[in-house]
Amino acid sequence: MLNFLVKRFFSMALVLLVVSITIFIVMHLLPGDPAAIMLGPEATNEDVAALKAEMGLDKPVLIQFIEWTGRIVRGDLGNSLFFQNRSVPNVIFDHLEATVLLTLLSLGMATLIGIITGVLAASTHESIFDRSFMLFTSMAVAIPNFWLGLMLVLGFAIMIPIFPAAGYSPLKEGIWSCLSYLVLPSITLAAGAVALIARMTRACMLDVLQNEYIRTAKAKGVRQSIVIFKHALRNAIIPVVTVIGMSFANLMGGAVVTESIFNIPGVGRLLIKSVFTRDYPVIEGVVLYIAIAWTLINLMVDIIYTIIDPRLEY
Amino acid sequence: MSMKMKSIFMAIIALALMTAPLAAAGTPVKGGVLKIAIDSDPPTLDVHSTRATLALFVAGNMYEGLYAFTKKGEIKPMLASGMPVVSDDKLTHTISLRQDIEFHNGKPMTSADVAASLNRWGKVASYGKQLFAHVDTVTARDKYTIAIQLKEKWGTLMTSLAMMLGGPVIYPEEICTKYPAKPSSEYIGTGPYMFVEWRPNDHITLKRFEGYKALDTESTGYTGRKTAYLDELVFYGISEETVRVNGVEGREYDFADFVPSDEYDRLKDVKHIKTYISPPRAWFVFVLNTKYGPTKNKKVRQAMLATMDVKGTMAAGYGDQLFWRVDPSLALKEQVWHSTAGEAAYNQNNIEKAKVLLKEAGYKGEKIVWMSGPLEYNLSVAAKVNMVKAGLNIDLQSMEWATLLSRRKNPELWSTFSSGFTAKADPSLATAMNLKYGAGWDHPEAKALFENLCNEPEFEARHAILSKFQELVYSEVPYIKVGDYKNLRISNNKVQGFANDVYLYFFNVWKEK
Repeated sequence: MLNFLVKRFFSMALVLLVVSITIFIVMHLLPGDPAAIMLGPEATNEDVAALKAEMGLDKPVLIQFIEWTGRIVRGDLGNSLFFQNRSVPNVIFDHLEATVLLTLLSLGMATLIGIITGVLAASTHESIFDRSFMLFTSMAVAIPNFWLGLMLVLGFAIMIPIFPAAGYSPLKEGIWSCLSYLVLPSITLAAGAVALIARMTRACMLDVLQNEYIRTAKAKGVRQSIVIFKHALRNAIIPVVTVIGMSFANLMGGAVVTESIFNIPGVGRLLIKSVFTRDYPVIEGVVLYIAIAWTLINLMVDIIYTIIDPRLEY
Repeated sequence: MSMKMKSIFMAIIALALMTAPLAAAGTPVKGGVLKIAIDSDPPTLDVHSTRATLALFVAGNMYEGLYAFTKKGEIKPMLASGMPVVSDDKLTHTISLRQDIEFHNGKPMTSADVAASLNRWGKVASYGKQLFAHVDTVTARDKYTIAIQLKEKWGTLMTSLAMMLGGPVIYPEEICTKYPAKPSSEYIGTGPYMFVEWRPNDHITLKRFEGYKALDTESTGYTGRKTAYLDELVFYGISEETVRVNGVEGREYDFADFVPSDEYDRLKDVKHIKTYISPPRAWFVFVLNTKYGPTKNKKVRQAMLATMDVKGTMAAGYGDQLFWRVDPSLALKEQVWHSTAGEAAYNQNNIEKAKVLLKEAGYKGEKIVWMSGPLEYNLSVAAKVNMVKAGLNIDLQSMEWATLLSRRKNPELWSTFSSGFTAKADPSLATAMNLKYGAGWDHPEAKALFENLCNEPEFEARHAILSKFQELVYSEVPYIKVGDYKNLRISNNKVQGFANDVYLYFFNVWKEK
């Protein structure tokens, strides 16, 4: 296991290096200029060139790359060009709370509902419940996030005003206030993930339930609930954990559409905003953060495999 | 006050019709938080460093200049205690300052702060650089007096000093020293609201400045009595228009700007919502490249102008006519600078004439690359129809603003781009007269007219110069004016005292309990 972890950390460092170089090159190849955006559309080329020089953005890309690499090696991601010159880690940290809470809430909801309904559908295979479940999950996968989000706002923020229509209240201002802002976005995000997890659980459970050791357990008179949850689910869960892990990593990178519909200041919106304003240091920082989140979560999932199935070795 | 000054005041456009406030109901009450949804985060809150109107929507509540425009377009003192004393040779303007002003950090404002601010603005701001080409020195005479020494007589000094958008607002001297050229990230002013926090990509919070010393004159535009009734103003930059509308409908936000005009008919009947149609503050324009490509040929540009069906283009691109109008002038109808010079060439909708002009130009179907941002794209598509009918080979490319701004720096990459020109109090400050804008317009007569306009103090003569410039624009076609546009704003009906002005500001606004 130790060897495995060491190897993974080395490969992670390599991934981060490749990602950071790629994003630097891609961003500087893209047309766009933070100085022009800062000055506004009615500025002349002369004004833009003067501000660009002040911001140090007129240096050749190679020089900028060397300077940037030097900073990265020292762990300095630089300052945002727009957000009051704040350091990039600070800017990302400001957006993490909303993203983490939204991820945990929606993924928690999706995992709980997905696994329970998937198991129920598999254990009542071909029943009305199973067929309705298939219909519901097909619909949930097909409904676009933005449509569902807008319908939820219309229904539960405007027609029946139970939840806020948009925005975010930080945790420090009270947990209930914070949760009230996250309910609708979490449902929006969870809908697709519920369907995915449930369908995966159902398919894996159906596979496992046909194994001989399940039949043997049933023949020996083991209770149905123990057969399903102890014998079947544990063996069926590994692919489901993979799906949950991927959804987790995906959401930690920011749910751009949902964050936009509900105006949640999360990592996804930060990335989009930074791309539109060409805030290079923030874009590079956020992409690095997403790469780190992906690799760490994948590592975590691999470790969870060994806990669920001790036969697995690395 | 000198004759020159009087003439300038009379000449300044009364953005009057633009600024009629809606009737405020009830008695003002203090307290509460006003949540305002604007269409994006401003790029910076350092007004010297940007001409972006979004910056002013927030910063206009925090900063003040020596002078400011009233709703009628007159210039009145704000931080100055009166109008300047002008020397006989018209080169020295001595300005006395109010002695009761404090910055948000508690420091009293003195002439050192004012001189430092004006000098920084002269180095950093586009308008500042324009003016300071004719300014010799700005110095502190004593603790509460400054002197502006001009190199030559210059007609736009007072107009420049009174501007808020990209204008010379006053910062503490130490801010000017700390940020001599780069945009400042410390926001300290003298206005009725003070900066609290900017949570990136989320919100900007301002709170009431308890040390604010209001003027005892009528509140009008950015001058006169300003009262901070609200405890806090919170600005949310929300690019999705649906979210802004839903936010006000769902009572999460109190006010939203840039609401889609298509929503007007529905929203005006929603009980808890007030709708406001803003005064026109800008017009759409197609900027043509006079230096490279097919549009270098004047007859090609004239052909493009001849195809323009402004009414059809605005209707297709901007919706209900409540929100736009057809007008040939380079100044708004509400401004004293309005002129109909050259109007015969505006809104011709004459495809046959365009065909003849293209033939005379020897146009062989060379590609005309046309760049458009999202806001102007529908307009551009509508205008393209007639141009294609006339035989122009238009390659209309839609792109986000950042890309457009970057590509337009290289005039070899494009022939035209769509944009908007905002109205300015004085034509010399308008982008429409900026000969360096876009690919630049190297035309000796245009240059001479611009210089004459800046040197000429008398309104009638200046108006005549502007009219000539407008005629020249319609004959040389460095750009094509489309139509003036307005935008829809909405608020919760508890919001009172909002002056539906060209720019947004929220002093004198209160919220009913």
